[in-house]
Amino acid sequence: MNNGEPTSNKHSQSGTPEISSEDTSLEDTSLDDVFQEFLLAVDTPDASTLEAMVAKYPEHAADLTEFAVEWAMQDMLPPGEDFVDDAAEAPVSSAVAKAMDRLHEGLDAQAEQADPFRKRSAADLKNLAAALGLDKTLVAKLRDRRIEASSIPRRLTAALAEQLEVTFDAVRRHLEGPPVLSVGASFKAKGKPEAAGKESFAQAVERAQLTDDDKQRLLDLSSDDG
Amino acid sequence: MDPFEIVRRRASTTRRKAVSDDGPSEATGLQVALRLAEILGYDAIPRDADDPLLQGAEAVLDRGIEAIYYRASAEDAEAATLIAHEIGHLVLHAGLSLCHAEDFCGEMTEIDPETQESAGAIHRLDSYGARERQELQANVFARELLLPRDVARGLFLDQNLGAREIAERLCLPLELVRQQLADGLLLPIPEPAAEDPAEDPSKPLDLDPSQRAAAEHRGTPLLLEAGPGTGKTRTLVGRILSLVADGVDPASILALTFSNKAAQEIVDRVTARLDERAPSLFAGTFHAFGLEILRKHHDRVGLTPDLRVIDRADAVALLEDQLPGLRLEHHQNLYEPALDLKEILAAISRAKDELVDAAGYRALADRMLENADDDASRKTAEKSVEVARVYAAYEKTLQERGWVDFGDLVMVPTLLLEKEPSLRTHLRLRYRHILVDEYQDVNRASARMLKALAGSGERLWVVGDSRQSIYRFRGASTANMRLFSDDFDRAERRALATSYRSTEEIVGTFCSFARTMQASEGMLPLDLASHRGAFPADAEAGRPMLIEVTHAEDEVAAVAGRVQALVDAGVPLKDQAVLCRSNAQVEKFANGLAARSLPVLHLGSLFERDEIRDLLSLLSFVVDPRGGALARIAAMDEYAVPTADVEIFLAAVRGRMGEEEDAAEDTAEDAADREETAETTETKRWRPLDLLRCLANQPASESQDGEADDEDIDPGPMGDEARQAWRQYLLGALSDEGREGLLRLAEDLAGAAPVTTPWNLIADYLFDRSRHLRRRTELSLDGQMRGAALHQFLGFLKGARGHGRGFPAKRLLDRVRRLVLLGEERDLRHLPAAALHLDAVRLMTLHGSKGLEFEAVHLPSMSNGGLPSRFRSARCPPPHGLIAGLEVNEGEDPDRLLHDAEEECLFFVAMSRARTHLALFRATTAGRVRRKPSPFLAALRPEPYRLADPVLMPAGRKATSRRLEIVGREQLRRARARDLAAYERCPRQFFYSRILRLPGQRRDSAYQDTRRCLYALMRWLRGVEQPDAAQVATRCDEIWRATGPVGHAFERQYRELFGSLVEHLLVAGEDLTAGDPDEASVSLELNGHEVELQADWIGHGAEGGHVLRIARAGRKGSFKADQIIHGLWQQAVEERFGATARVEVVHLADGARTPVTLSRRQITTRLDKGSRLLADLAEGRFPTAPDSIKCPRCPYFFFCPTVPSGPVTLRPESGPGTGPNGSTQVGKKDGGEDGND
Repeated sequence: MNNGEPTSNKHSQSGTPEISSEDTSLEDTSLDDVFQEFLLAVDTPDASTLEAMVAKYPEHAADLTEFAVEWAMQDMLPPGEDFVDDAAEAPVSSAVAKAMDRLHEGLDAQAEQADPFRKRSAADLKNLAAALGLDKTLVAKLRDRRIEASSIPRRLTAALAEQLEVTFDAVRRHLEGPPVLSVGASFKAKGKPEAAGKESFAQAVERAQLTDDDKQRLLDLSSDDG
Repeated sequence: MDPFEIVRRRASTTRRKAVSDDGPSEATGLQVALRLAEILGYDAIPRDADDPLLQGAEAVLDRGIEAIYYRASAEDAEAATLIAHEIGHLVLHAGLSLCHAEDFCGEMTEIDPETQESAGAIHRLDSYGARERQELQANVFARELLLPRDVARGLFLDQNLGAREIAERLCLPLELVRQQLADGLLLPIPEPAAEDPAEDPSKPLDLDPSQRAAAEHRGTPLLLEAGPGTGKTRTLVGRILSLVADGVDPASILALTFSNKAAQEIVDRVTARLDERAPSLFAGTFHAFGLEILRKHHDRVGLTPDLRVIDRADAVALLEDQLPGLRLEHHQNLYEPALDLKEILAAISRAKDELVDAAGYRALADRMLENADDDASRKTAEKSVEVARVYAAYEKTLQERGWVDFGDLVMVPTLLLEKEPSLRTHLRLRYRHILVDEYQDVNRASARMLKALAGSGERLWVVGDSRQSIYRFRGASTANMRLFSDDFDRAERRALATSYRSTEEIVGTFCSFARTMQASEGMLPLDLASHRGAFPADAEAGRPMLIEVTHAEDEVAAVAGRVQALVDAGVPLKDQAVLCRSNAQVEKFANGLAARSLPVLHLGSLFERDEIRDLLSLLSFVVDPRGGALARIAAMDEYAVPTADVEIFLAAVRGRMGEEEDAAEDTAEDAADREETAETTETKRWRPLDLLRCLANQPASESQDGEADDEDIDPGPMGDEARQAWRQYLLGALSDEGREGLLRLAEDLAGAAPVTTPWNLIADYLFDRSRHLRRRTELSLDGQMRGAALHQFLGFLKGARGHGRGFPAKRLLDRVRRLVLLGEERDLRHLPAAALHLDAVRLMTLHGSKGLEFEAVHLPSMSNGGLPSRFRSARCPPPHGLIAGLEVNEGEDPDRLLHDAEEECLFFVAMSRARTHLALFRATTAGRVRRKPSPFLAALRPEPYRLADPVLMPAGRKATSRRLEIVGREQLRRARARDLAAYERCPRQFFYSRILRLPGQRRDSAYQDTRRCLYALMRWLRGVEQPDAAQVATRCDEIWRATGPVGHAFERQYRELFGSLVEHLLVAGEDLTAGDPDEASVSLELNGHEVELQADWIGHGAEGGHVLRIARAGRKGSFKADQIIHGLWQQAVEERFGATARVEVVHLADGARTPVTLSRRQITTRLDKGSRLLADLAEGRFPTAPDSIKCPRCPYFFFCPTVPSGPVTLRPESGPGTGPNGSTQVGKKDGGEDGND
């Protein structure tokens, strides 16, 4: 279960036990690579193979499990029907399809880059907010991809890239991704978690804990955008 | 220590960072919460409900940016709890938390998370995924953070504030304040206890070699045999930790346990060592897991996601409504249908445990019928066929309503899993490591679920001890342990090797017994080392001992003597336990030890405790139209209303002023019946609460606008003028003392109305209005037990969800009766964790001792028939072939085989609870009969040490039953036969109904309503001469409309039943030649007392002798006419009419008759007993006669045994035989003599 850890933090779990994986590079293997390795390993997913995959990539445990469930279910369905699992959440619900597409098309999954917000401490994020004239809610929403990317002023995106010391495109790609849904695939969750909605930049600013002047300044950033 | 106590401690430490509680607390909850968030470096940021950061939740803790988001629309009081809850997560847990409304509900439905077992079956099902556990902890934390218990207590006791005032002053939710008051006022706040160093969560688990080997087992299914005290849970937790250390995802681990408590313990222990990854672990019972599957895949089994789980009491109610449609032959119980239905439901539940559905049950029953070759086996088979029929009807109703019962929670998902490969694959991928605790208590359905989940089981790990299998009645069987290797190929077995609990002597004793046990078959030999070694002092004292006494009565004295001897030797009371085979024995020993001034930790039956009955009586008073509960309330110290004033008030409720006598009032029940038949009262009646309001000059309650209660007589509003007149009358008529008491009561109930929920009513009464809890600051053990009982009761009220007709409090009272009648209230006897440290002897059943350990264990009743107990066959024994893995011969009860094995297990469990001292007790005689020792004793090696000259501790003075002061007692020298019968059944009930004429609390069911119709007709028949068929039919219709269960789903069937009762009534005298109606009344002189006997029919039989018949509403069944009353009848009739005369009992339900044919000797003994009864009656002795079946049906159940102060004036009887004429005299009416057939 992806217990509510925003994906931004999920990769930085502390206390992960030592694993005897060949893959001990500093950068974790991307999720798509992992999925593809799984797809290539067996015809249909089974608990033992999944277990081996999870042991190898413990940081992707939750995603691998959801992926396997979805894969197995799709395999069992007559063609044309889609499997809908309450517990499979938006970030991975189309993971099988995507991974299979990539595999078939031979696309390089390296395109997916690391989340520019990962491994940023609360203090880092507070500094970021101060530097950009944002409040915590706006930073959190940018981090969690909760704002429609197209409505975010280019100048803000650029400033973010500068502060985060990554490329403009890396930030852009991040912002365009699906929103991070914090509630995991909880077996217990009765009501489904809210649909992974995004709001407009204007609305997010309106709701921010900022003075009217500061809000206006942020809204004005959009003026250059075509 | 109570794990929630640790949470509370951390809350108060956190609180102290922001608030000093030395002075009066003035900071509002929101101020405290905001200040704390700030101190912890967090911003609490209100958000619109649709803000994406909330994601639909109520509150979110975002550690990444150090913020708490909470719903902006929350009022201040609620916002405070939202923020405090998230601070709880911040302080207690790692990781992000996102909390939905339901996460905060925990505290709204449960008074104490530790005693959820008490809140009724539905709460027992909460799964303890670690996440749910954390939400509960955060709720407890938030409460203690915002209003520490000692602060709440101080505000209430020292500053005299009520819950509402506290809530208002500190701006906190009322429910939170009530909960903290309940905890702070009613439960002791435990001293910080030294933690067990071995369980220090910061240290790694220290496993011994056998534990380590088991924990680190990989690759094949493992069955771990874990003897008593060998560290089973520790090993299980060790395995989880070892899996995680191997890189296993905690979310892929499923730990299935026997109880929620075990699940909580696992979760707590794992969480303490696993930081933020723990919450994804699922630990819960098979039932809780099954419920999750059903909720999630409800559409595949035709259910809705919010499916309702019903408990046994609900199920009985469900079937009771369908009784006529079921047309039962073998299991029809007119007296109390619920009892037989309970037995049938037990059989159905048993079938579900074996995954046998209604059709399967029917097939097994049919096969039994085919194979039956004699009457007895044919009858058994027919009974099973009938159970199958009820099973099918029951299932149909459940499906129609979208409900499930307990058994369904495992059976339905298991069958679904076995049928649907996709679901199986899905769950196998999700839960790749399965651990099962207490495997010996797993039933067949759960074992099959496990098989479906675990597949070939290469990552399956189960632990159990077949010698501790004591849940046969839940379908558990050691067969699962034996079948493990069949269920899973390549299964391996291991055993834990060391007992950490008991001394070498005790380990040796129970191991020697294990060698002889049936449950050892197929298991590894039990050969445990004792980690503690031999008993340190002289060997004799450390040896398990057998203490024999001659007389059964002395057994308690010997136990008490032994307890005291150990206290003197330094073993505190709280480390000693007396373990009994039955609940009745627990009661007996609790009373016996208490009579010897030894403090006992034992709540007993919650609803029979005085302080609880006081509150139940208040509930009854608010909703019952007759107000009889006042008799008990009047006796409460704070009101002290004399009996005479109670009588005046209750007469006024009936609309009577002063000396006006109720016309022909004979018993309260009769009066009630009469009111319900058409010819009733023209006088205005009062609702008791309204009359009280009137007396206090308060406005009338608003009960009338709420849900209409069609069952109760609605008096309608009384005009102002009338109210003043009544008020003046009462003010004049009542004594000063009585008036003051009633006015105090009016004030205390000012917040009550019939529509109020029981929880609100009682919480308002206790925490806002009355002085009830302000007087109770007792530190005595009794006082603490009362507090614990009240706490338990509040938890029950909070979780209660009575259903059926009528006001909420009436539904609750009905449910209480049903729970007691069905014996389903036992869960409520558990003590809250906070009470467990009180220094008093622990008392419990052998079953209840499961999983516990004590320094000293005392085990009485070690005679044959005590332990092992005698086998009693179930009313509906399982048909042959139902129980998997059990070979049974034709005509053999499969349960008997299981019974014997289970008794051995109970003995084994009992002995192995002891750490250092184990004493077995037995009496060598019962009455004048010698009793053989329990056969179990012979198997113990070495033989237990026999204690010569055991110390018998004498009991203190026995309280004698108070003789009640009755003015006009001389009238009691003359009694009617039915009075005597009533007195014999229960003298105290007789006192309430015939002496005090107290209106009882109405208890209704369609069945009872139908019977009331019969009695109404019988009364009418007494007063008319020779009615023709048309008159009778018209009258029946009138009565039915007024009294019958009109509008009931099965009204037609009940109407038919009424018709058939009437039919038998009308023809019961037809075969007789008419007799002289005056001769129907005979009397008998007994030892200076006179008994009057009134026949219902009199005539002459074919031989010419007198025949007198008496009516009875039940069926003939196995009825025997051999009660005292029958002896008196036979004697009186022979004296009057000579030896040719006969007395017969007519059973109206089937028209059958039973002649009274007692021998001379039988008559003599009955006359003796009768005259003794008459003497007691005339002397005014009215002791109670507790009976587990009769009491919960008694109209005075909630008031008993209390009597208000002051003398009772006995009013003259309106006389027996009020109806004069006709050859058919139908004078019997209360029908209470009905046998339980």
